[in-house]
Amino acid sequence: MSNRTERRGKLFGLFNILDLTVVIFIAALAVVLVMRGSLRDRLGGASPDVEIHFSVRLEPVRIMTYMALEKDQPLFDEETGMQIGVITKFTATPYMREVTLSNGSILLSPDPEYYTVIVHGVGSGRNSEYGPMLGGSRLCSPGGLIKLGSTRLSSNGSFDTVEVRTLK
Amino acid sequence: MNRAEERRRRFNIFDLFVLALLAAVGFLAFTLIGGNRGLASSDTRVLVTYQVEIENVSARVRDAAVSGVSVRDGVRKTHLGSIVGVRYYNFYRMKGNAETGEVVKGIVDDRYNVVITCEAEGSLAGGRITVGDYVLAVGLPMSVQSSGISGSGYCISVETRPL
Repeated sequence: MSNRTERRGKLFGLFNILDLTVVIFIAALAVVLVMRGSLRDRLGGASPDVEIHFSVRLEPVRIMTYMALEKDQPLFDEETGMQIGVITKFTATPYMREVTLSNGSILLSPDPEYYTVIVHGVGSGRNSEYGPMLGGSRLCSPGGLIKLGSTRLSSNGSFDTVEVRTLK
Repeated sequence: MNRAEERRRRFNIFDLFVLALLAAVGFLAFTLIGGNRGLASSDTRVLVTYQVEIENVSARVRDAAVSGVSVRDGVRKTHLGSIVGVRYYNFYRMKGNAETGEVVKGIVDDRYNVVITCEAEGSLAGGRITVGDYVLAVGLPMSVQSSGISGSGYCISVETRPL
């Protein structure tokens, strides 16, 4: 008798609505987390198998950005906080600003206050169908945007060059 | 019999399974959403000296900036030390000369850039400089509040020395 009373109101006689709601919520959350991407990568699905030499273009920036860089300091993807490599070298050239002349033509002229800083780095990663992935999850292809960080730097930039070498 | 049944109802296997699943998913979410910062193996205490530049302010705001007062982050209200120096210069924009094609500095009258120099105790951990849980770096947009000046700008320099 008591068994029948307990089983009444439960789905298939086993699950009550509240328990079912919780299970469905957890399942939906798990699906969202997986689909958000990089779950397999974050859980270390594959170990790094390539060395990626890359450069990131930061422009237009002032001289303080160049002065904040130092060779061998770590490089971070500021969106995830993950370290993606170390600085191997960096260069600065005057930023070429577009100037519209009175005759309508457009000229590129060097800006006396702003610079184009190119930060070269090296890190490990792996190849994927979309391109090389720094740290296993950070896609790096020329033109791709990145918020680049270092010990004393945080600046928006874009990948300039990417070269992949197989790890020995 | 009734007591045994009650005990079974209070802690049944299914509910324990749900709780364990909740904890696991919560931990995964924290790890993925919170980023892969990890734990620093070494944490060096340092004195951080940094500068924040607030652009395009009026003379009144410029003159309100004073040294010796506490400063905090305007968004998360994190204490960021105190102001130890203030300087300013004319606000300008880089513009092209339509006749010569040269890029020149165009001074904007009666508008100023204020640079506040601040000092705070912080740490160097995992290759990042932090004050509290606030990461400091050149180029970082910052919103600062103090009893003198408040405003949004950018961090333009960060230096450290061991405490």
